[in-house]
Amino acid sequence: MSFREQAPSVRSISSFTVPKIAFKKSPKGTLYFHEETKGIGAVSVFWLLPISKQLQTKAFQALAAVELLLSGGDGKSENEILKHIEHLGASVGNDSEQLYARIHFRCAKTVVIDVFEWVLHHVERAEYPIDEIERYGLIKKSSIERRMQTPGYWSDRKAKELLYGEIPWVGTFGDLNDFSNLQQSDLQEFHQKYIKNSSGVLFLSGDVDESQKRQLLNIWESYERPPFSWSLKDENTQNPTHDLGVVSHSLPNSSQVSMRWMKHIGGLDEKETHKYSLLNMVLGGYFGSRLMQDLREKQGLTYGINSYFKPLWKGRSWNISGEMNSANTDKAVDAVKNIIRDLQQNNIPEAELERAKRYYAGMFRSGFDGPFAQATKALQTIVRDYSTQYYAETLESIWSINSSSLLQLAQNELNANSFVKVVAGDV
Amino acid sequence: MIDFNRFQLPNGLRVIHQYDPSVSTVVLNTLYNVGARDESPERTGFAHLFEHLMFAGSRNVASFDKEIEQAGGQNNAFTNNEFTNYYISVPAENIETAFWLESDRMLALNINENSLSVQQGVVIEEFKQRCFNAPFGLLWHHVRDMLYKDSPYRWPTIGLTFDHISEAKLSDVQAFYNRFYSPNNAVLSVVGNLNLNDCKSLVDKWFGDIPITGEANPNTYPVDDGWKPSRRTEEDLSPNPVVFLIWKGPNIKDDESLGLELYADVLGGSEVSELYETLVKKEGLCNAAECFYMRGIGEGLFMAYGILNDGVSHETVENRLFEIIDSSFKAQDSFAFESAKNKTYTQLLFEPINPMSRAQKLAFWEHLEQPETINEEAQQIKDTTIEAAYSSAQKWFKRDNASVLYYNPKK
Repeated sequence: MSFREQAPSVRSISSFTVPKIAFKKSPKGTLYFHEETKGIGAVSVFWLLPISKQLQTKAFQALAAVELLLSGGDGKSENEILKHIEHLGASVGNDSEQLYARIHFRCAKTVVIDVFEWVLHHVERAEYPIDEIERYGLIKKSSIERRMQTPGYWSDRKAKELLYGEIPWVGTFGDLNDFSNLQQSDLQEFHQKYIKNSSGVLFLSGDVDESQKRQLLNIWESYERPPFSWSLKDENTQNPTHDLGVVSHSLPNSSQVSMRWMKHIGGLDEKETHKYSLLNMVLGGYFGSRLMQDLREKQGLTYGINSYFKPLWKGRSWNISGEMNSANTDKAVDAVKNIIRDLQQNNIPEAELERAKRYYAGMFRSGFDGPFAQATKALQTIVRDYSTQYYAETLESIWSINSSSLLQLAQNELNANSFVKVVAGDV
Repeated sequence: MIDFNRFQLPNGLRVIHQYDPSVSTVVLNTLYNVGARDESPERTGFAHLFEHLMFAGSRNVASFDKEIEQAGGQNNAFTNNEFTNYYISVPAENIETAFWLESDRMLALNINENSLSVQQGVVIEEFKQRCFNAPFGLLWHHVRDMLYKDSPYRWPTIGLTFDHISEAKLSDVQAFYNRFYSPNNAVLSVVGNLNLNDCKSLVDKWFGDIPITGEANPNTYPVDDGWKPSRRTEEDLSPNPVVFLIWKGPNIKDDESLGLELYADVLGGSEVSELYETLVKKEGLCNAAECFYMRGIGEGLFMAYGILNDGVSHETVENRLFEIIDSSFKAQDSFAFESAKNKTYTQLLFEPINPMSRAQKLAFWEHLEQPETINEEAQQIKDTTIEAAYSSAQKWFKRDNASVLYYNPKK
């Protein structure tokens, strides 16, 4: 027998000393995270602002207020501000998520103080010049128009509208004229109320030494800030209680159909999140999942079909989505229903569950590799409101999950009728 | 400084290794010297279709993906015109699984009608998703068709049409496998928490007995085929009309290519560039304008484009693009050039931090037989002068050498 016929033995990742995610407080009360990796010469800095769409009074107000933070102010144009950042070799960006906004930059160790001082100075003094707002509106409109030509945009949008209705901060969509309705005063008011001198948390990682850390904190604290606070709100959304059928959105001449299922999952206990993640993994959360194996690898109906959670505020939406030939839509819908039904009726076989757990554990551990990984984990502990023990207990939680608890979860949550189902395309 | 080791097996397999005990994983990256350039004009997209079949199991492995997942790892692959690259990342304690899987599919891939038929379906859906359902999805079909006449570079990796995918036969698959998936036509890079001795033992054990099945593909790239610049108008999924200007340029091994990349970054690599500032901000002709230089293995490519605002004509933007490029040669902006160098240098600091990108870069440079380049890039950036970069740009990016593509929204 050739040695090749026998698979090498495989060890599961059942224990791992999780690096401690420790936030610190400066003498002046700033909450920050700092992890130094000497010698790499590269630095990542970001700060979390507790602002998001739920604070806005007009569509895209929060997004625009964050994305235009460096568009000009204090006598400097956007061009002058960004040129200086580029000259320092830094790249700066921002995220405006459902839960929070984040301003981040990456640069060489040698220039981190200069970059931070410059970026923060202009973030605090953003004036939102009218010509920049108008230009931004044109660019965004064009970008939305491009997305509106794809079935994926419409399946997502229609599903969100069906599920969340009038909750304005849940949807990522907006109408084409929303940007032209944004006024300079809308952005300045939002900035004044939520961004200028805002509370926030600072995350420093990479080659940032103690002395640089102190300098960065001093710069941050040269602006008066209230203490950081964070609370998660409930979406108060109801899932359908009976089958709404499959809702169609017509996009003539598109070569594929985008299918999307969506339901709302409320706030979860920390340990529950792993159960949901594992069930989702088996359903469509990785390549070996039932959706990918059946619809792609067995039937060849799609390039990809996945299931995943998208964080909202306290809760999240559970999504199943894939694109396929319109002639195969019914087949795909039936296949998803069958997979869901099986998960509700039968225990997941031990070998399948073991594989999902091993994959989950492997991904969890490797997620701590690298000089910037812990800062990202630290960010999650705040925005998801995790306890200090969350990461330390994750592996134990994963390995304690059994098939009967997943069967029960599937029976409670994975009911096809509780999902809104949309197909968009040439239907 | 990336401290790497190199060795070669008697069957020709080249190995490049780097030990990094700071991470918990090991990346096993395998680059085969075969890409879309090796396809027949009647079977375009085949190298990429074949890449899919490499996951369908082998003599001793029923399911490639399931074994990787069982080991707590992940894997994927990509194909381009020049090479096909497979990568696996696993927890260090399970690295032998990666060696088992990667060697088994090099030794004895399970080629059968069922997996071919399923993956044909998958790839056709991928073709539709990428080319028909995405804005500008057919751009590279048009660009390549304009730049090449007889060369295999005239089609994109996904293929000219999905009919070619559906027409592929099992005999094509077997012949392709025997011809190109031979150890002497591959580079293995191993990066992560595995020391050199253990790496050598595992490479010997799993790859040492794999026989040569075909000749090594030469590192030649058939790009010179009597090409002439041209103009055309096409329709694609796009809400706005677009003007693209395209030039050919020197390849990545040519000293001029880095200077051209920096030049392109200055001219149109960001929102503070001349191109963006003029066409989007000052003149309001476009809602996006950009340019970039792609340092390909066969050839380089310079593209400048503007996405038109309502009521603006293609001709207006084409003229302005040419004027801005022409005037850039005279008005050398040394401040902006230094910025471009600084940005590129910073990217180099971040790039090797991830073991996956390090493994892919090492394999890439080893494939080109110049692995030491990975440690020389910072100095190359430093040594590139504005005079040399702009002189190259002026030489390559003349109006007469540009191909012009007008895009209109598909009705």
